[in-house]
Amino acid sequence: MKKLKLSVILSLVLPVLSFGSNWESKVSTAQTNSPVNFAARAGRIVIKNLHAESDKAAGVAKVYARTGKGLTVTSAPATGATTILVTNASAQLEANDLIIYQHSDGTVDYSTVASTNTTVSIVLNDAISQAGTAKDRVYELSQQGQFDVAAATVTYTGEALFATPNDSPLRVLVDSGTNGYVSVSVATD
Amino acid sequence: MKMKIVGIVAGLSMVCSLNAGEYQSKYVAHATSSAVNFPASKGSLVLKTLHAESDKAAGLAKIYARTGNAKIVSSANAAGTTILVANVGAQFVANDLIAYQHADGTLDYTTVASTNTTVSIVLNDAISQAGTAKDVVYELSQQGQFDVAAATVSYIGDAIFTTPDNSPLRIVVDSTSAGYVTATVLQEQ
Repeated sequence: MKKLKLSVILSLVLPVLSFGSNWESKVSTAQTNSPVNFAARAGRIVIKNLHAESDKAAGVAKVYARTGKGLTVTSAPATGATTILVTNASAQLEANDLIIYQHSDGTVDYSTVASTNTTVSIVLNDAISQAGTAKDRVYELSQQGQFDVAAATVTYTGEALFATPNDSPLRVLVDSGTNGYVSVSVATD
Repeated sequence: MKMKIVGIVAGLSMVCSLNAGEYQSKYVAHATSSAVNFPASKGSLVLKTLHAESDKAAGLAKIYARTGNAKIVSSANAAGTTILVANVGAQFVANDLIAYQHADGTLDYTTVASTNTTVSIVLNDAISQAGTAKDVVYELSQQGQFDVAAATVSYIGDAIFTTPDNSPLRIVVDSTSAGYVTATVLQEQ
């Protein structure tokens, strides 16, 4: 009976403890324009902490998330491929679009669209970093948030600085001249 | 023991309810007036993060929410300016600020040009897409204000501002030639 009661209590407590779970942090010290990319997941990605430095007077942290729906890759591309077979119905993706290629293991590659071949494939400006699968996803991104950095080091902390739509990757880019970085912590809503 | 379990369940339910809802973020950068609009949901919209920039010494973030009751559109409207809505008690009068919320969540913001007794209103801007009889018209009034000045500011907290139940939220930051606003809200269920 005691075991049963304990299991009941644990089954109630554990979901609460895991609320807002899947915490993840990333840092980029790329000096000139530092980006961090988080893979899409079930639910929304919520930024809890953004710490950044720039040496540009007009330095900002630009926040990107998906616009439109994610597209599923229709055939596995090889490592280094730039041509991606994807059903680009109604020409959602166009040249110069910002995209995230998300592998099924969660690895994300950021690139831009070089060209599209009607509705069956797109060509990227950067090769994907590893072989893909037919379960991978391509997301079009647009800027959906901005935070000031200037020529300074800043910290923003809060319950919800920014939230992506459901099933969206997140990209945060801090522009700088020769000295900058960004450190971001997120949780899943 | 039963009482203890009931107590734990009640406590956990309260903890869960503290965060019940979904986060949503919006961002707009316009030269002279940057506005973000969040559609109404069943509960309140709670503003968690407001990050804004203006180049005006008297720059402000003005916050608008519904005043009076929402009115359901009584007949489908073409994408025009005349809206059939029961204007009982002449709630809407010329120059009122209003938000027209489509059934899919799309929000059009405008002002009332004139009213035709109690059966329709005429807007100063056409709605962006054809409407349905399930759409809702909200009269808005300014219900909050935060200082921006000629600066970049962040207001981050548990509840910077809260709308009434079933109310859209509009935030406008005025500027001269450069400004933007990033806002994140929790949609309470």
